[in-house]
Amino acid sequence: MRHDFEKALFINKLVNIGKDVDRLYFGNEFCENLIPGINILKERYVFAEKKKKNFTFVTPFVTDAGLDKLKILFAFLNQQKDTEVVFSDWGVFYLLKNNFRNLIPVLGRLLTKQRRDPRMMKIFLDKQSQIVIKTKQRKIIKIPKKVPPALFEHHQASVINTPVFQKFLLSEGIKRVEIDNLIWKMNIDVPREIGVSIYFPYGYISTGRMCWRTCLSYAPCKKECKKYFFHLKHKSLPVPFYAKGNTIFYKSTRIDFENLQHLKNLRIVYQAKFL
Amino acid sequence: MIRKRFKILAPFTNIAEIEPLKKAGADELYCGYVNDELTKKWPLAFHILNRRGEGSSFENYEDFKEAVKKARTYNLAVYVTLNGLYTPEQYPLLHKLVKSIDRLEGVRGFIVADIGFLLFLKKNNFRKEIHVSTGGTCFNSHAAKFFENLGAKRIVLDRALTSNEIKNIITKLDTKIDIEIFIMGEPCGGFVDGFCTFFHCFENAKTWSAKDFFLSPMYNTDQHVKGCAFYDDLLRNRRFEVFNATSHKKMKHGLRYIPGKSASLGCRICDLYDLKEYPINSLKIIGRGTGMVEYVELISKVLQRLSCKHITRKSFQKSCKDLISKILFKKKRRCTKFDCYYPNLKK
Repeated sequence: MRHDFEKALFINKLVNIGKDVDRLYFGNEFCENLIPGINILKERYVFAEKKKKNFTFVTPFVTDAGLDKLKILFAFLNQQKDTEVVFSDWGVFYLLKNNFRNLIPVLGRLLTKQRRDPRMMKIFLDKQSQIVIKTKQRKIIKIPKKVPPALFEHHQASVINTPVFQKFLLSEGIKRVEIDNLIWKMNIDVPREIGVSIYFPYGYISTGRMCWRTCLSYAPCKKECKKYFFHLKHKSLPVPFYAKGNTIFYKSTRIDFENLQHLKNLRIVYQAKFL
Repeated sequence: MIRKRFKILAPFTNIAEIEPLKKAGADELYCGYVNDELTKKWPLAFHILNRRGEGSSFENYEDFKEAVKKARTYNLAVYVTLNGLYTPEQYPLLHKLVKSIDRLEGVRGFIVADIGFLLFLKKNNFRKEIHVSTGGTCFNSHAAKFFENLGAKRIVLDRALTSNEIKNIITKLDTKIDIEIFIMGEPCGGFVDGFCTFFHCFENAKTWSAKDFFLSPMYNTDQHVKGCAFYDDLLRNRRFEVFNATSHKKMKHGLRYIPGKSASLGCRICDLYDLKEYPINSLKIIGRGTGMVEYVELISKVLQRLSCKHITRKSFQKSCKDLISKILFKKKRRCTKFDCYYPNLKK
């Protein structure tokens, strides 16, 4: 097993931090309503500083109103040393690039565009020789189409493997990208100048702005995500699925370190709870 | 005159749709085009090459060329949707495909979602316009500027934006990038298109019967063809447990799925009243492969009403409701607030 990776812990509250943690993550990737206030951010930053940990602030996709909220937070962080900002919105990157040059931009996992849905695994395994469909009247047997190997290869990779995109990232000063830990073998191929962070153990599948439907509240946002989450159950799910607020997550319990050997500047971002 | 300001961008899948769409009021068209080389490796059903399944894109170059030619005779510009998220092994074949499209005069541009692909088109000096699809996830004025700097001519704003948020973006934009918004169509399960990685597999409807619709038996699976619909199904059938977000302990709850509140028209026609003074270039109707002539007719008539000088918000809304009943449902029907895009975002 590989041990030469940076260990980051995604925190929400102030918690005991182990000595082996190198960096603290704080913030939210999925909802503008969960952007913290300046006092909370300052408190988390000071906490990280006291514990002698590096600090990464995570931001969601935002409307113009959200950009205004972030400007206040970035103004504070911009005065600090070596602070990273994970962006999930190209507008946030534009803001960082033009107004907050001290902050280190990191391409968030919403923008690295992996194909994540774990249910695809069953299709890739392609084990059935026939499919039986039972209706009330009769039983139908179908011979399935073959799934081309290129489809699985595509699902193992990501847009970050594309050389023209990598060149663009480096030219814009983006030297780290963040991805999810897929339940199948990943093929991540980036130049050594680009670091890779892998979220563990929760990967996201989908997110939105329509909480009324995803958390069955049918009302304007009352921060239900702070109150409860769903554990979804079905025989076709290869790993547990969870829904919290506007986002659906899956849990993957193993990191395929062997397959990540070639990556320089690897970082694992551990989330004890999906935040 | 409002009608001149908002163009109607309509989907089409075959040459026969062009004339009815023009008659119904379409100003420009969009479609998908892929070829055998690509579909053999990445079957259309899996939404890899563009964001639609089988039966929604042209798959034969000659048919596609003829359709583009015909659209040109009706003075309808055609945009080609290549809004997949591509990985390096796909680029050589995509390059060939784009070259063949670039030759056609009637094609005005490409609709793309992947920044790498956008950069690739620019690098290779293709002559067509580049539009950033809703898959590009543009939620704010800074993102629009970012995409414009990359060479985009038009940006499709995310469909989860409210009319006030759209107005905000336009007000803050001091650039010339064209703006497009969605006007009608399914609100995509409540998830943001560009951030959704749920599995989708739409096989050609001819290969299975209607009752199999939610399964895709030909690809060896008993999975729902649409991840977000699958999620709905789990909620509907109460296949979930609720846990306290802080303690992670199981909770008693009264949460339940309410049918009808999840299915909706995905309509934002009433919003046009608020947006009529804003320089939005086009209104996009989704539905490649499903025949959207009635929707185009509806929007066209709605825009005619909107262009009346003395129309009030109330009378405009009433007109919209009447037109929806008459054109889409052919019977009297009451709108519910869940027909709207993202009702909980509205005040």
